[in-house]
Amino acid sequence: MHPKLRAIRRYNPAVLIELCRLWLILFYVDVRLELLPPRWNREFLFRKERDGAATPGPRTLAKLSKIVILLRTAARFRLRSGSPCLCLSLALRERLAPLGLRASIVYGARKRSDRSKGIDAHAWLVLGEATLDPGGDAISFTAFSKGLTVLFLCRSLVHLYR
Amino acid sequence: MIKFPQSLAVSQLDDELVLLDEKTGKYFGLNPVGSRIFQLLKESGDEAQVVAALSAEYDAPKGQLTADVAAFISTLAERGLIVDDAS
Repeated sequence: MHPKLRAIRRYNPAVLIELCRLWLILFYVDVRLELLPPRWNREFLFRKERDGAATPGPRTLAKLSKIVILLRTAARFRLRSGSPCLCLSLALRERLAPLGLRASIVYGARKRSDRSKGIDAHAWLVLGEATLDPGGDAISFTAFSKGLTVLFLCRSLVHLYR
Repeated sequence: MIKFPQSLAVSQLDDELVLLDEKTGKYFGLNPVGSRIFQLLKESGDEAQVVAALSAEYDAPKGQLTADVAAFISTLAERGLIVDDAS
């Protein structure tokens, strides 16, 4: 038996069902991103929840971290390998929606540390003030925003008060 | 009057900017000079004002600055990152 499948046998049925559900969501995300043209995925990729979602409590956060761990496990069985952080974040968002948790996707960028002048991009979720990052280390990325004017204004004020 | 589309999101990394076009999902890095031109364009939306501001900041001939800003705007337009609003 394949080692990955052998590892799955130790899970109890409820966890296995959750794993299958997460794999199916990942499959849906992968198929959608692979087959549909970008304009049909725009809303899917950049949808922001209008009402500010509440920050989940400790119990919900514990449940969420279990889902994230299972999502990473399910991702080992993905049929394609590209953009893991994006697919994992989108899949997690789709999984959380039926639970009443309306997370928003956030995109960020950072300079590569190896001085190759490249830029790395990353995607993660925010739910209230909580960061849900199934695919990496969101803390080292700077999120994209549309408030550049405010950003520069704030920076100017900082210079003025120095 | 140069305007930027609603679909454009920006991330500032030190003195450089990265632009994310939500229409296409592509992102573009700007070097410090490009970032400054972008910032000035965002503030004033006027090419001549951008050139005037840059001449005060950089020790370069005005003709060269004008050409560089025009080339920068043309590159942004080619990639659909600006909306050239004549009104």
